[in-house]
Amino acid sequence: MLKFIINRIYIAIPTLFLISFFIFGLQKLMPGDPALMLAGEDRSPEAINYIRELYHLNEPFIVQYLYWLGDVLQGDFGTSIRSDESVMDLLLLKLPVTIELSILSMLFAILISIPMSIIAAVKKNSGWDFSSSIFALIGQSIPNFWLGFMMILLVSVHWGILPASGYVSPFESLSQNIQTMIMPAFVLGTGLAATIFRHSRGAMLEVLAADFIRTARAKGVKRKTIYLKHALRNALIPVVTMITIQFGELLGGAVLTEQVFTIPGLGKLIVDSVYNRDFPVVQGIVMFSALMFIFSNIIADSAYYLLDPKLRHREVS
Amino acid sequence: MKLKTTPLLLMLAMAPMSYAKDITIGLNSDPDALDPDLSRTMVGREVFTSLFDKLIEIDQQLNFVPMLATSWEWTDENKGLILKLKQGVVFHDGAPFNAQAVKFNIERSMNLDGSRRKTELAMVNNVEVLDEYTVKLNLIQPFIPLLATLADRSGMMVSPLAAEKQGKNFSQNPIGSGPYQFDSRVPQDRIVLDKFKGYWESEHYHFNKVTFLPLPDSTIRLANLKSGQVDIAERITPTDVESVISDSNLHLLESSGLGYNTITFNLGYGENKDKDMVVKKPLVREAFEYAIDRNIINQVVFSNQYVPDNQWVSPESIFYAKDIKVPTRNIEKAKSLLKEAGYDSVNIELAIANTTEATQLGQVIQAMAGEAGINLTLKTMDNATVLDAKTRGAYEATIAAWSGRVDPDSNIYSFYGEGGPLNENGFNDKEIQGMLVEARSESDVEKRKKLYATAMKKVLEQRPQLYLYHPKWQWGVSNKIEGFKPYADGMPRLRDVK
Repeated sequence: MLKFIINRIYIAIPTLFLISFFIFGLQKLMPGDPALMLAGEDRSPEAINYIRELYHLNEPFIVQYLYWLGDVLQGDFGTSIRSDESVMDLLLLKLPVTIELSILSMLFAILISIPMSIIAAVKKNSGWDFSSSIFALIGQSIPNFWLGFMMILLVSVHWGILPASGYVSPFESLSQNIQTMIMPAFVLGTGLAATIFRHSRGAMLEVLAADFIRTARAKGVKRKTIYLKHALRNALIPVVTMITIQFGELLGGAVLTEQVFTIPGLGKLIVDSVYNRDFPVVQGIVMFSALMFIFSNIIADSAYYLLDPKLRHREVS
Repeated sequence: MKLKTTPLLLMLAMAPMSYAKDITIGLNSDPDALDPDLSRTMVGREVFTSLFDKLIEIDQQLNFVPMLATSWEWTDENKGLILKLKQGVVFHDGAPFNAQAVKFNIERSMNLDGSRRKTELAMVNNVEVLDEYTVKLNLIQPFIPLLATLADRSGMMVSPLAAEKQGKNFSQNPIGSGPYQFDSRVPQDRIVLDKFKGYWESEHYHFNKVTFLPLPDSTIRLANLKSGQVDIAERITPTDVESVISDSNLHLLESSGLGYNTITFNLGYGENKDKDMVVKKPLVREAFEYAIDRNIINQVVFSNQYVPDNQWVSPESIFYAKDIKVPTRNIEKAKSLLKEAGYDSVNIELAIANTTEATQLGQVIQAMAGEAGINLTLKTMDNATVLDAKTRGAYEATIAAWSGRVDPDSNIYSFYGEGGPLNENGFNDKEIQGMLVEARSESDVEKRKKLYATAMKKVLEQRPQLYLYHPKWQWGVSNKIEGFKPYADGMPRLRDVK
């Protein structure tokens, strides 16, 4: 197990290098000069030159990359061209917000989708199965930003029970924090719930048709035990993989949802930074997202190990 | 049971509450560095209005009125400006405001690494302290627009003590002498200011706390206004104006802006200097002007909210040339002008930003120009790319905007003056340049008006740009707020607002 994880981390290092190089290169290919964006409307030549020199924008691409890499290897991810704040500080500031949103929406999604899928699979082709499939279809096909807008119009403007947007830290006020998070978590969660539901219903159906379930039934094992202990546990293997990977994606920032609800997380930061050509910040966030994605993949693989005895035995033999 | 009721109770308890003693203002983007010398965004200035006092203020009619400077006069044939300063003013950190502080501030704006104020203060040679409350700015050349400069960010006073102590980190904890002092900031989320008890006009400021929320999407900004999370939302889009007016909890306040939007033609600048482009021909540009109708643009794109016009100052400015008429649309004339230039039809590429508004604007112009045989290809790019293309001269025609300044010089000199940093279409007319230089050193308002009017006529004949309209500043304001006054510079001043 440990060997397996270490192995995966080894593979991750060159992957990260490649990603960093590509992102850096792609950003430089983008037209648009950060110095122009940042010099202000009157774009005084002094200001433009100052910014170009400060951020080595006049140097060739490879030199800029080496500057960046050199700093990163010393633990310095650079400073934002726009706000002059350290990229690491910005990441650390935005990360808790994104983590909270990710956890809440994932929790919401799991709480809805897993029970729903168990019932749907057990009562296959029933009314419940049919209506939950429709729910899943709707959940997957409604775009998040549209649902977000509609929620704001209904819940905040029309009913006036929740704030339309913004974010309050839970340490400042827990109740206001929850208020601001309900709608975004719901919006993000419905899409996720639909995906998880479809996967786990399929997996559940497959397992329920398996021989060992029939044997268990024949032996007179209680229905509840069959469904929850034997079937669900086996059906969860692919679902857990999917959930972990989805979670890794969420940690990269929910771009549209954060934008609609004006939540100051990573997703909003990266969009704003791309528009402003704030290269160090974009680079920092993409690297971080890549790291999270790789990390969640490793976790997913390890979870496989824990859940699936077959894999463990293969390693032993 | 408990689990079920708790969230419900929570939701009820948390229903939005309003505090009459606080105010929340929705801005259209997140301000950059909170330092008047490093800042470049308009939203930044909006926050500074509460945070920093300026030497000179403007009133709603755009007249200069005293703020930290109680009076001023030009000397040495307009090469010296003497300012008398207000006594008894202190900065938020207790540092006194005096002539030394002004000298420190102007020199900081002129010399700080990365200062965005260098160009507008380029005419200042040095600053002399005459006595504790009198200061003199010595200029290299006469430069009358300096007053307008001191009524903007260059005239905002930061605490010398804090600026020296904090150095590069000043913007993390900005200290001024304004009615509100800095409390906290979460980037892209909020900026919070507290009432400054030691303010010299404290009785005119009624809120304990002022919060600025950046809400870039105009629909979301409006939704926040309607649901009561913000009390004032700036830059209501023209298409949303109706919705604000019809809401019984809100009212709309507006002021015509100082800015303008244009179609800029590349007359031979940068990468396209030697390229064969039809827009280089004056007759084609004239035909273009007759092909479009500014009123239709205003109706279709801006719901009739903006001011269709062809000058670089708004009709409310004293520098507006009243005898100049906006040409009316004349397709036949446009066609015959094209013929005269030797064409039946021409193709022009128009570079525009990929915002909803710019795209609509481009499409309306495209439709109108097409009828006269001017076929526009719209080249849609993101804002940074358009800006880049413009600076490199890699465009044929583009739509440009200028947010506008109080003095006409700043609306025009950078574009048409010799070596102006914004002259990005290669229009160099010596006669006009001469008039612009003369106008900026002339303190007699009537003479200045004449000079600008003549220069305006010359520009309108040659059409390096077609001025299209002046946007307005439109504010959605909750009925709980009283006394908010819109200003032409778009700044939210909270004096006497309750």
